[in-house]
Amino acid sequence: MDKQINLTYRQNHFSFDFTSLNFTDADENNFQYKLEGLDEQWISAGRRNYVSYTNLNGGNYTFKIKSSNNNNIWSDPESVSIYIKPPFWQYKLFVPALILILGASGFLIYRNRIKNIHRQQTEKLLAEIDAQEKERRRIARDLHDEFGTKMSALKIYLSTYEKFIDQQNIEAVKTKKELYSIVDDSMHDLRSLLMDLSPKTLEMHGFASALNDLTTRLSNTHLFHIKSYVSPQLERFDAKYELPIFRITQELINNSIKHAGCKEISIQLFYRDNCIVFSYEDDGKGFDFEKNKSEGYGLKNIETRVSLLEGKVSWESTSGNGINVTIEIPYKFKK
Amino acid sequence: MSIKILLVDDHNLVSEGIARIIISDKKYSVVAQLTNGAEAIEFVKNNIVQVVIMDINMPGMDGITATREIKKIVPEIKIIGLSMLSDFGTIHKMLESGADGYLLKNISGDELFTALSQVLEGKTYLNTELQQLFLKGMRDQKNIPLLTKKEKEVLNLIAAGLTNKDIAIKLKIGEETIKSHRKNIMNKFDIHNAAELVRFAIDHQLI
Repeated sequence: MDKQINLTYRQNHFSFDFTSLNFTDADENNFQYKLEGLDEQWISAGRRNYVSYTNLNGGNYTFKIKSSNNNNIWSDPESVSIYIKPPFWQYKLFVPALILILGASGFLIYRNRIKNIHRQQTEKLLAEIDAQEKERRRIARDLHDEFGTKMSALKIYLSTYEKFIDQQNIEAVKTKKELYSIVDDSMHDLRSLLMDLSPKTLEMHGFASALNDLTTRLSNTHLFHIKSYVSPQLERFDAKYELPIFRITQELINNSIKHAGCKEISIQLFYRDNCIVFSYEDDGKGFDFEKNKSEGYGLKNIETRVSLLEGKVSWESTSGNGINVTIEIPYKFKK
Repeated sequence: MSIKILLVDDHNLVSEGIARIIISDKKYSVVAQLTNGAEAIEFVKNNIVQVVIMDINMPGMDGITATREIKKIVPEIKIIGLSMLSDFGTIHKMLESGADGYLLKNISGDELFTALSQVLEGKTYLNTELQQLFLKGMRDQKNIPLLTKKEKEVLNLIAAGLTNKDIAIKLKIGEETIKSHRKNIMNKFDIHNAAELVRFAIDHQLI
């Protein structure tokens, strides 16, 4: 009777009916059975000739049955092999695998979420900076078109008016000179303001040209010297990079002017190791970077702008020995 | 017959003022006041003009492009740029496009007449301030690499045979910064290896 029965886990509810082929005194026939895999010992059924099993777990079982006749002589056991295919959750590795999968997806969701938050923050910052630049451009344009034009006209009309002035009248000549100097100063200030607000030269002629313009203007009005070097291939590059790097330059120069009391500033821009490398030095009194960052020296701004370009900043400052800022920004030239 | 001058500027107020200065001298007359480059090109095709005073930033076609086009069509026309911009890049572009002079929008009558008579004599006109700016720009454009203070310090120590680490300790700055200085020097002066750098350092230590 060696037989194999295969069942699925849904069919784990079954019963056996059995009988003994001894009819001498059939009422005296006794049965003992055991389901190996579940029962440890033989179970006496007495004269009952059936057994039911319910809710068996998946796995291999062997049902064994033996009987005795009226003389209490036991037969050899007969057996049936039963295989119940376990449901997937009863496989050995199911629980560890489940934990692993849950853990991994939890981690992925978490990481994704952090990434999303980070991306949203970056997008928000970019949008803010973009809006700020647009606003600056608008103000610069309005100032130029309205105020600047009128100032130019004022100067020009003033010069046509000049010939009506009595050159013998000392007071009138003196006033004329003062008027000229006020108008000239105002126009000079306005030009500087416009350049700072929205560097037209940057848009029109690129980074090297704008830096040149900036350093020329500053060298004329301040007591320090600015040296600059721009690697030839970086005379012009992507405007998305040009503007932030130019803003960083302005910010650093402002810091040097306001706080450092320096005599010399060196600004350099290189292209190496697939990065734009910006290097800034001054010989001022130096500063404690971490302290000044929180005090709003515009340094936080610089870090933000650099991180938006996926670059990194390193600050070096020794007291009395100026600062040294190195910024590396990954950059690929468009083919 | 008077010398015919064309004014191109999108701001009427400035144009009016310039016109007023010009007509105060009977030698000159203003033939038209236009507001952008494209109009100017059309105008010079059909009219006699000796001098164009050209704004740079104008809606439509800018003054630099218009100058280039006009010089192609009528090369003998003299063109003077007129702008609020006083940066090397703009002046350079304008002169490169064929302009004969460049004026800032804060000119006096005297300067305007000086510029007019100079360009009509075939000379180029830039006032002293712009000449200085232009020359500085040309020099800077050459972009001669220089050593910064920190680079000189680092270079001296390289020449003295110190390692990056020693230099970092001595100058109280990070080793990464020293490495960066080294790379920058090599990049600027087209130096490709450590041996060349040391030779360069020794040469420059004396300066």
